Amino acid sequence: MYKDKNILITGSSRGIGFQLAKYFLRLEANVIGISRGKSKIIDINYKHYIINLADHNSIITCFKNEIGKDFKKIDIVINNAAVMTSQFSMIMPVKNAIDMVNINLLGTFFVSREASKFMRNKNFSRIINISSMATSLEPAGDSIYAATKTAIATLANVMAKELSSLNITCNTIAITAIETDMLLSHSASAQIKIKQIINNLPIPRAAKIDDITNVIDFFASERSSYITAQTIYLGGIN
Amino acid sequence: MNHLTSKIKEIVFEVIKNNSEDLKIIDENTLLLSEGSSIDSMTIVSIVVDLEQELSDFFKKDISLSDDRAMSREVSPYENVKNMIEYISELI
Repeated sequence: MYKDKNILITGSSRGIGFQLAKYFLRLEANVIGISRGKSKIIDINYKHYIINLADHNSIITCFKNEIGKDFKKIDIVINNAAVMTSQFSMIMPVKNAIDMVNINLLGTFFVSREASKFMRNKNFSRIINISSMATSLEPAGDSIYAATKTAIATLANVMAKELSSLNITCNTIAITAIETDMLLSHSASAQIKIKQIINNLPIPRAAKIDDITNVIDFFASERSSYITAQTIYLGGIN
Repeated sequence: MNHLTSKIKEIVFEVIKNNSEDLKIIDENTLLLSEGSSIDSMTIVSIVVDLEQELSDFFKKDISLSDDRAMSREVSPYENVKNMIEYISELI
């Protein structure tokens, strides 16, 4: 299903983005990876671009001068990159709050904006945003993070309307916690909080990468051309 | 008409033609983003994106038709083809 498709993944150097890149490479796709740092992936079908998604002009420049020249078309975009600081609002550091908005929301917007220019005039294009269970559960400490993840679902819904005439669908998957570098980098108390949240889910376990790729496969399928502006939650959340 | 304007006109007409194959006549009076236009709004967006690319490549400089300057002009470059050509000429 992905053979010879050009799939762009943000945040591809680690965590879910890294696992998704490996997944699509196994299925013979060409993967365009984006992250702030270098990638460990060495594969003839993998091309990595170092971009800080908080620097929106560098996103535009990279698409114009590099990605757009290396790849004439993009079939699927997976907006996965995100940063997370879990902290009570009154003591949330200003920089961390701004970083979450700049990377999670505006980074997703500018990547979708620039990528969609290379997704036109085709019968198949997909934008898939990775959101979070935090949008529904709204845990204390996740004010900005949950807000940005809610915002990218709205972004997908609006872009779905704008881009439908170009055969581009835009959907969102709201994932539960998965044991990634980002999760493990949290403090011990934050990890305990996340474990408590997981234990209270209708399906009380952490997500596996297969749970995520299952939904991505559905959104990405050619049969899903009539599925757009939708959010699917994992783990029984709604 | 000087050579520069002639080239801009050629690029503009070509880009519009490529994006809206159903349009029978393309001239300076062709309406873009204004009432009575027979080009839908997403096609206009595609025209602007392609124009920025084609013009930047040809004139070897960054041309933006979607920045604050373009959006805030009293006479909108998006109104019709003539305004668009004049605006691009100014930029170049």
